[in-house]
Amino acid sequence: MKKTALLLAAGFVAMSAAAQTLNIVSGSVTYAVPAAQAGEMVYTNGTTLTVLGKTLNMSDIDKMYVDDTVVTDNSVSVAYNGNSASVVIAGNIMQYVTPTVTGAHVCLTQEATVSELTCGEIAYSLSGNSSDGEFTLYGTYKATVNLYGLNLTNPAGAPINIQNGKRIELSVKSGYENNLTDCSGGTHKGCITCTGHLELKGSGTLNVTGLTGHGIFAKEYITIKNCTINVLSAVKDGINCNQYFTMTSGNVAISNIGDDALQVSYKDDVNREAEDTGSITISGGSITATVTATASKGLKADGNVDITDGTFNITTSGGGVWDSVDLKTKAPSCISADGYININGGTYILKSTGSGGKGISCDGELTINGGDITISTAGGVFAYVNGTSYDGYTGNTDNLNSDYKSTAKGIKCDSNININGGTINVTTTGKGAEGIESKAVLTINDGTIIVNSYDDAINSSSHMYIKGGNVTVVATNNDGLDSNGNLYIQGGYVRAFGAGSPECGLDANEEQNYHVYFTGGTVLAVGGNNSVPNSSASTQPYVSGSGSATAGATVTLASGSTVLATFTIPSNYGSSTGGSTPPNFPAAGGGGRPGGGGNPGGPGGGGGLLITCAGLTSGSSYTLTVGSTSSTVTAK
Amino acid sequence: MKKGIIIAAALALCSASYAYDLPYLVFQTAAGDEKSVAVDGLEMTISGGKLVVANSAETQELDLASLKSMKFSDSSSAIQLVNDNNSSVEVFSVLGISCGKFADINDAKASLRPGIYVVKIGAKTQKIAVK
Repeated sequence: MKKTALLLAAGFVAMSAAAQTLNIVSGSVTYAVPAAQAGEMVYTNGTTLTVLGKTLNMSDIDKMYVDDTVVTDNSVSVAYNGNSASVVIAGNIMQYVTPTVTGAHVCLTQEATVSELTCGEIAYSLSGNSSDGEFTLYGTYKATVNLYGLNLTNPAGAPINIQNGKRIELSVKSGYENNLTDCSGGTHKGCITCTGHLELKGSGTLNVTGLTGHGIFAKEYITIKNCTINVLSAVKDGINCNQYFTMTSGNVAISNIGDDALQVSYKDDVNREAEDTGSITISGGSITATVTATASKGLKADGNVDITDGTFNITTSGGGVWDSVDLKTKAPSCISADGYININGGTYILKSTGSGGKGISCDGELTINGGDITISTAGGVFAYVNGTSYDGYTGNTDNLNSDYKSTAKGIKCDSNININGGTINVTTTGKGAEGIESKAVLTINDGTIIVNSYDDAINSSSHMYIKGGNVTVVATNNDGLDSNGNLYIQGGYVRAFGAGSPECGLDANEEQNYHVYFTGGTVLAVGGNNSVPNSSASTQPYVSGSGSATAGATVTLASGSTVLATFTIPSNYGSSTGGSTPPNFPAAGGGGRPGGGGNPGGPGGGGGLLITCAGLTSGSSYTLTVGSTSSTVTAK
Repeated sequence: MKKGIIIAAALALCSASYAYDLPYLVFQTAAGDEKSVAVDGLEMTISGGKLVVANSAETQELDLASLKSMKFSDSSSAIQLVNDNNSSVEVFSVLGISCGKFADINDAKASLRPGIYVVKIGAKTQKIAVK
């Protein structure tokens, strides 16, 4: 009996009360009022009904009915269906959201009274299909917009237009794919336009087509987490925002665009707030971008670029352009920053095929601490000569002001370059294209660096320091390592190949009385000439030798039976198209490089082959073996 | 066996229906009268100045101009609207004490002090509020 009673009681407890909702229908809008919240609903003069602070005209009410719909507080749902849309507003916020619905064009205004003290954040859930619709949201308090399989085209503007300067979370719900298309010739900024901060998240997929401007535009920052964003086309940028851009995960693919893939600008030119950094910060996810417009960039930052992880596959194919406002040439780049670039990890495949195109370009310092970076450029020189623009200019640019030419480069930095780790593989094939260039000081502390270039493989405008790492450079038409200041070899394993005379494997700016200093490292340099030390500050001796440098051959320096250094000639040495024939390095004792006008000539040079390594004693003899040919060389 | 039947019947009752916490919608007029309507299948529309209230059991019209408010309630013990103004009525207090007989409901309201009364009209017994 007791058991029966208990079971019955449990059954009655289990008999739960159903949700109970008063639905007030006005055109396409339904206010869903939970019965428990409704309280006293007041009629006034038979003309209005006030429910939960919202006064409705009786003439606007089509019907009211009670059902068991479950209502989530602070929610608004918009379901698009062809030429119409159904809007359901939760009762607790009906006084805070004012709807205007015309066909499938839905405009919602969050009243200024929405705050943490009143109703708090409101979530808008969008779904359905329409080829003539929109979702426009006005407000001054943060909000969430959820996408549950929305396919929306607006032939008169942006399909999603958020005129709210606060934080907008745009959640692309897991398992749903959404497609948004705007119109051409509009006045809106992007297919998705947001005047606030746009936080894209969720594990779903969002496809965007921007026929007027950008694919996605935010007046303030954009963050991306988890979601898959495909900008299928855009007249301007794929993604454009101000303040900053951060990405922690997710996948972004951008193609068929008229300008940059991702551009981040300062919001204010003066009196910037602290968060207005113009920076790109990426710690995960993937970005695939195809950029075709002239002088356009894959990732472009007014500020800095910081990348700790992620997968980047960026291609630019446009060439350079003459900017008649800034009076200088501009060229494409896969990753570009007006500030610094820090790369601490990630996998990069960067290709730039147009004239003047670059893999990485920055005005501030470039620091690479890790990552697997593969860069290739195929373009030549873009030049502006006597009022005419030239793609792939083949004339002499030696006397052309740098503002009037853009040369393709793998990596170009207007400030210092510091390489502390990672694997970097740069290939340039166009005329004049250097591999890695610093307009200031270049330092390699560690990492694996491989450069195959048309012009200088690694070039610095000021001093160059090789302190560690594994460096292999092959330049088919110029120097392997070219320092316009001193060249300090302090450590590392270096194989540097330049073209025939007057080009060098190692080149310090001896014409300007700069020199090379060997204080460590294991180095093989092959070229028409090589800079050699002329100071006792260079403490590690070197040897010069002869032989036939053929790809794959082994070069060994031994002291008796003790091998001091061994090198393998790179497999692609001598096989590059263009440029001079790789040198068969002459016998040691060839003259040093001539001085500049008026200056004395350099010391007896290291023309041909040069090796420096630990274990050498100045004046001692060693056996140099190149391939199968051995000779005796004396250390200096 | 008997136990099993009882349990089965209870569970069947549970699964066959679920209750609203507030199963009535109570309308109040400006005059203070109230009418409760079960919300099961409730739908309301507006027509010719009337609020047409229909549920699974009945349909009735309420004059919009005279409506003051409506609210959900957990019981139908709300005071009912007395629609018949022409019949003689006998009025009792809520304790069952006779308060007299009157020509009609309006006469009763005019004569009685404010309070809640039970009104007998023919075979019907209803509550009214006198304000």
